[in-house]
Amino acid sequence: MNIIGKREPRVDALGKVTGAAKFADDYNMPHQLYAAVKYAEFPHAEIVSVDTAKAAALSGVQAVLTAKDVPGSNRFGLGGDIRILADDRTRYLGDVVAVVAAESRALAAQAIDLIEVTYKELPAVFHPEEALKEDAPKIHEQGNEIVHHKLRRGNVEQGFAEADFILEHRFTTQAIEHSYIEPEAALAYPDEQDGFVVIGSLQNFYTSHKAIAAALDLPLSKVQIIQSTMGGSFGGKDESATMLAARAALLAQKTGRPVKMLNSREDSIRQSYKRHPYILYYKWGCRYDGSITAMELKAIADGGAYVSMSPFVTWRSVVQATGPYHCPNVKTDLYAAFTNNNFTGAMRGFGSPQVNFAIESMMDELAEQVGKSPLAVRLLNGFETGSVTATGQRLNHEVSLKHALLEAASASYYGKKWAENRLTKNKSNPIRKGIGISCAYRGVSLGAEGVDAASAVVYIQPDGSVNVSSGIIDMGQGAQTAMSQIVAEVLGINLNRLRFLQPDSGRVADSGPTVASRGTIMGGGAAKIAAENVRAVMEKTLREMTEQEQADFLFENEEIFLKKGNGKGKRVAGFDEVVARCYAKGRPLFASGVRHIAETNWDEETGQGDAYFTYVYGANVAEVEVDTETGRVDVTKFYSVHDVGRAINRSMVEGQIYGGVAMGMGYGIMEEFIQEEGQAKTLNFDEYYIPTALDVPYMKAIILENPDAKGPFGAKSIGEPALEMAAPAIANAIFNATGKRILNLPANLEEVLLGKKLRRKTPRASVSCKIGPL
Amino acid sequence: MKPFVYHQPKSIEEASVLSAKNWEEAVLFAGGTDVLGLLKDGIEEPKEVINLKGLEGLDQIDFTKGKELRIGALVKIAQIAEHPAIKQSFPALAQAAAQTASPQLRNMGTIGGNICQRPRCWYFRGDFHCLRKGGDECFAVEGENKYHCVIGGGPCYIVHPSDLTVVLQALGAKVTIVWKGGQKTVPTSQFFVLPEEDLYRENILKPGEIVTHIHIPVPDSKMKSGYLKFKERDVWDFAVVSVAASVRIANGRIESGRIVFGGVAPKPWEEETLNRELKGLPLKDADLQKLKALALKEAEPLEQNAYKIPLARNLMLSLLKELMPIIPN
Repeated sequence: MNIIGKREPRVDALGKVTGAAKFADDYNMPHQLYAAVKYAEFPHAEIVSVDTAKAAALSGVQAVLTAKDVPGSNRFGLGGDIRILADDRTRYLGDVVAVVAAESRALAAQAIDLIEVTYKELPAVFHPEEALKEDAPKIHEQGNEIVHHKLRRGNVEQGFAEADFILEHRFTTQAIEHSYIEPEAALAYPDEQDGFVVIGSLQNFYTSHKAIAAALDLPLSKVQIIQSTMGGSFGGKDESATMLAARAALLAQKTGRPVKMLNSREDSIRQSYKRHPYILYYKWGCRYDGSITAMELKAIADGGAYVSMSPFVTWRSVVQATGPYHCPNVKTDLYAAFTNNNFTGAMRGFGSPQVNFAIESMMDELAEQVGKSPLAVRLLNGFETGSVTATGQRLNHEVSLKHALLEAASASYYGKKWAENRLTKNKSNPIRKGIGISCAYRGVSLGAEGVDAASAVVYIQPDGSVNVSSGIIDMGQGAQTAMSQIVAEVLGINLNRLRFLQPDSGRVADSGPTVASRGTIMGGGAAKIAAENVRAVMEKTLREMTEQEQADFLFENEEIFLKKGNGKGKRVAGFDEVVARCYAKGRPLFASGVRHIAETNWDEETGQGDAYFTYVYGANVAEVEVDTETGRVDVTKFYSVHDVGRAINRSMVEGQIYGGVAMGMGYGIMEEFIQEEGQAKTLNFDEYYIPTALDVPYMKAIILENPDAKGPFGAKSIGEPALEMAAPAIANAIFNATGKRILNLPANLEEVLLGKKLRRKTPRASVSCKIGPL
Repeated sequence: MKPFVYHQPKSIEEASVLSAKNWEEAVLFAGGTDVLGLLKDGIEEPKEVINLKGLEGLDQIDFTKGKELRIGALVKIAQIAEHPAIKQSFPALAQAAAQTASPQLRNMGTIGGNICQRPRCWYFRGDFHCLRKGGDECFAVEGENKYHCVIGGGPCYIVHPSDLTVVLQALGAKVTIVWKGGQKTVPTSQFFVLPEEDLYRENILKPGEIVTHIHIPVPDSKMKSGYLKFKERDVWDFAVVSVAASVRIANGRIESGRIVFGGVAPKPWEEETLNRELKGLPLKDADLQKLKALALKEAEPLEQNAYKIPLARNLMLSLLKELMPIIPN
């Protein structure tokens, strides 16, 4: 390998450190208008009438739109139920009833206050278990059950009967804000051929493209989406960002002028979807030797006001709900329910952080009950190559779970520290040390959720410089650099020849969303095929040049050699020379590549099938110090081991691991999006705590490489694995320190000190909210 | 920000005259780390801003061995955190200075400004016409009051945000106040006022009065001091609860001492009964537990902040254990 695995600098780094990078709000145009939104005033209410006359009459206001003014489809999303502008009802307080475009932001805000909405308030429901009761207020016509996934394997009754003892716990996990540093923003403007252009911070711009074109009642070809440089997303800039961009586009269509729409942090947190909070009831049948005879799980996810990604998020939970452990008898029921909270959708992890927290806590508890070390029970129950999962899938690739566990344990001296922390010496200190372990497996990419295909285009310009475009986007994770390295490897050239082009809906075929840790495996796979297609054109020319019809060539260090066996033969020509020859012969070096994998299947009734085409494995160890007098948990060290198949760029893999640990730690001990009666309480980072640079522990990233047949150069995934098992490692470390099992995330002061969350019981009289009356 | 007249007085007298002339509509400006925020957020809209940075002789730290430490009001917080003599003889002060805000703010902010800073209550700092801003309601009473005071409050429930004041009071510091034609020196314990005494100000400064120096008596070798600041995460932030203590230890007992709490009251909070109990206290765990039960006994928490009481008590215990060898039961 020339460049694969190297610590190459990121292709987007220079623009970001110099400030040249243009984020969505950096785009402005002459005669641009500014948009503002009118929020729902009740979490659940019928909209009787909207009076916009006064707002429209205000000088400088160019348009006021309600749902009635949308020429095309006002609804979009997986369930077709997310309203660009609330029409029949408001279903959460982030719903928008009307939008205004005006000559200035201040004028737009003034106009919003002049809009009068008459509501008929409806009974609301804020808890998913209550929402599923028969007499609960119905949020949508079809009832409050969004989805019910099942998995049936073996016979759990028999499994429990065979058990020596039963382990049962109820776990809860909290809603999480993505906390991307750049809030949603978009600029929409009319083009020269009665179409529209939208420049925005959009994670899944193909999805946005369809929703916006449908809203404007225009064909896809007349709406162009340009993705601006993104300041983070973590799964969060899908429907939320689409809503904002669609509102801007509708206002641009109405006024014929450019319209800028920008969310403040409070707007963003109020409107956007979150990670699903779960309630999980786990019941395990266990043997005294530490093995598991049966697992039963019932879990309920709060889906909030709209369907969004709930069916897919909970589906991944079902597949991974039993962890990377052998269990012959499994019964899983996973529900998602509508409530009048913020809707919940995709977020880094996508259904796995919730179940991983519970399973890994259960596994730790099992170890405690049978008097073994948590590492030993994991090694006893863990998957190996050839193991069969709860969905009946045989794992035929290299299953490196135990390798990862042992690496994590030896790097951290887990066994020694775990035993020492249990001694009275540690237990009598006010500040107690703890160490915890966790592991997980994860299905790579979309799996049986849907069509899994991605495209890329490689264009070698006549001077030998190269443009790469892809349908997979870079939101900060480094996709452009990974794909560039793959292309450079195939063509045997230096990275500085490559220039990555910003994604554009007209440039590359629909590649699906950039989600599910599929950027490298699918986008990188497509880039590799595109580069190989271009190389094939060059090879044709090379065969003519060498007059050897059967020759194979080696592309290396900007030169091309004849292949001699598996080694390097005679030099044929320089890269530029071959490029020039190709163009001289009328062979432009432009090719696209498509990576499509369709090797998954699923039975909805039994939850059996080959859920994903391959899996990744990892293990985490956390060290903590728990202040038993304040409840404060200080994460002091963290070890994170991941099998990534092949590291395309080691620095970027480490970066993903460090970021994932920080985010997983936030999930574990401090982050919580709090709503009271549907009202967001944590609207900015003064109350919504994320770890700061000062909180992040010493971190050791350990990369394992077992190349996978499905990935480009064997590469699999790291984005979500890096985060999904961090919280349980910390929770288990807290148990090691204090002997108290954390059942409710986050393990913040209250949870650690009191074993419960402090919550206000009476309604609030006033709120620290700057974004409009409530 | 609204327009204002900017003054650059050359002497304290001149500054005093300027501020006395239009006291209600003038603001004193030193490091600016608090004032700029107040101006930008429209919390204060002064017609005149009086810059004190041109005043001479207020940026010195004078340490007279065995006698006193004198800190000019314009001394930067970073200087206090790094001063060798302060680190050695007044560890609590150096610790508190080092934990104040961020490096940038410590390089700009002055000790005078720090003790005179305005509260951080989110209603006071937000778009709420609250009591302290001349309104007729303290929104914290029924609103979000997780970070408000548990003692000494009413009708307004702010906490004093400064780290340094808590330590200064524990160390028995005094504040020199100068005005045209006079000056006085008062103990820090008399410098701050509760809302029931003055709803609109946090200290006793009257028109034309300016803080020029802080004086701290130099402790003898048996005195120990320390400061603990609690935040929910490691971040540059104000204390949720803090505690400072200075204790004199001899013959296995505490001879005398002062304990002061931050983050619990509208001013640095010191309890006479608690200090009295310290006198002659043996260094035994059981005795410390008694002390714990005594601290903040009169507290009346609001709906969301009762946690501050055990937190403050436990912090006090942790600090005392840090300062002296405790004999377990």
